[in-house]
Amino acid sequence: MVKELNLTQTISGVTFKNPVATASGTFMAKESGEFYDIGRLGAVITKGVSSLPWRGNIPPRIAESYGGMLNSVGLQNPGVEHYIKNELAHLREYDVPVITNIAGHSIAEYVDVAERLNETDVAMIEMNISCPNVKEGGIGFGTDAKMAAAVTRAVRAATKKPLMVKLTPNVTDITEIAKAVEGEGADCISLINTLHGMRIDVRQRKAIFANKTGGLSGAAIKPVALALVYRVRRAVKLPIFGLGGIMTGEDAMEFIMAGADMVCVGTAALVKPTAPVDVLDELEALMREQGFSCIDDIHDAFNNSDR
Amino acid sequence: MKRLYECNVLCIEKTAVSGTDGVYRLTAEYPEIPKPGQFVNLYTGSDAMLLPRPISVCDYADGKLTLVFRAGGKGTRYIAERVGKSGEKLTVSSPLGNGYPMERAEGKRAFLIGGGVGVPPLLYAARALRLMGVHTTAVLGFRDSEGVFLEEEFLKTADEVHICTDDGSRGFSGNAAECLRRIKGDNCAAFMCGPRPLLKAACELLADDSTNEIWVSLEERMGCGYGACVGCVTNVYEDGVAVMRRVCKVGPVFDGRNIIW
Repeated sequence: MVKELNLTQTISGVTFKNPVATASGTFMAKESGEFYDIGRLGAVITKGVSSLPWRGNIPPRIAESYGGMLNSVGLQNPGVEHYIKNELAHLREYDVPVITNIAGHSIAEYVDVAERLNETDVAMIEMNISCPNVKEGGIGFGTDAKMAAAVTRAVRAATKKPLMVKLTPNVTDITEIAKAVEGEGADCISLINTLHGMRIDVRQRKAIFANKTGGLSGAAIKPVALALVYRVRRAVKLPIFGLGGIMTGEDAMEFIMAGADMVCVGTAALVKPTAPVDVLDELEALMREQGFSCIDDIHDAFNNSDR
Repeated sequence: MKRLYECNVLCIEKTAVSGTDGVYRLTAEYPEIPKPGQFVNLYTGSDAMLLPRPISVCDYADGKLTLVFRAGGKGTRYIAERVGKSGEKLTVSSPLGNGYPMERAEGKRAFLIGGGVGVPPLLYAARALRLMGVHTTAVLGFRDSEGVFLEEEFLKTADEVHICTDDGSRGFSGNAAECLRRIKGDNCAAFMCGPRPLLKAACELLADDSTNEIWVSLEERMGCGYGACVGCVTNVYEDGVAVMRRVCKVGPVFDGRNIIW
């Protein structure tokens, strides 16, 4: 008997046709759309957008690492107005919910861009709190529970849209940050963002990146990301978008078993442009093979055998 | 739709030596027609080295793609060794990047200025110029006589070919810009690729004359190579304002007068 697969997920009132989304920073509507039908995905999470245009870091911004890559892009983006008129307009051609990732260097900047997005039809806002708070000496919003709470509180008050907070793994206890943002009204949580990493050019005798360190992503970080999703799942009640090195449908199922409700595919898409839909197809095939008919089946199977 | 292709490699051979690195010429069956100045992403096939390697299109004819690249880094060395056995497949992307605006050469004399591994993409440009009936002069710089490659192909495709070597062991003694200084004229369409100092010098030689077209292929460390990660930007002027533009998407070819050196 062939079971009907129901991949639908409803989170914070938003219905996603399947649990696979693009990870912020690895997806552009026009560019990615040249390789696959974006409309097949559960959601797209777009590149971090700020209130005013950001130039980003001086190149080089990319370095390779074993099974992954390092980036020091610095969130170059043309600002929220350009985003609304261009990227968002282009995405309307597809039947896929848009989650807008937002960035800022101060609480006021996050609030600004959230308020501007209130006037649009984006399904959800994802707050990238891995940015340094330049007003407080550059401490990362996401590495300090009080600051994570403060910025969540401010943006929560500024928008009625479902609000997701993206956590950085570069902390001692990520569950502390997760609980802090849950306490301030976040609707869901995504994790993880990149890990601190570095490359040195031994012939030039200096760090490859002008900022010295960058963010590590890709297959190399999967075990770390998975463990953190597992821990956060057991610390908060909020829905979770899990990401960090997902390259295959089996990787996606691992994250779902660990507790993720949705999964995001990022670096894999830089390496193989069709990765998001490939992961979706592989996940679907694996679910059939394993006898799972919906995402909750996967959660239940793991929880029931987890001692 | 763009894609990745599993291509049959027809042959790969070492064609020159650049310093301590081998320069390889690879031909593969390939189903799309690239434009001069475009590049393709090559994939190592190794989980250790995930990022694609962007290599300029050297030539394309009869369904066969030719690439000439220096095996300078881990990825290109790995690819050269792995596909060294015939019958190996190589994953190659659809053509990427904007390419040279060949139509700017109409009614002008074309100059192809290249240095080292910047030389290969100029061959495909020479082929297009031949079809357009544009008089083409190739000025090709290499380190030394051991590093010279594609000379025969250029002799068959361009009208004039100047080989330059840094150490004077073959042809003109000096780099391609120094050679260009002696032979340049006005009303040229220059298409360039190579080390940044060479490009800057060649642009400076031609920029003052407004009848000259100057089109330069730049490079930056890339991530995805197709415009999604915003990793490979370079600083250029657009309408007088300095902006960071993706070399893989808005480039790799830029107007030489807009480049911020």
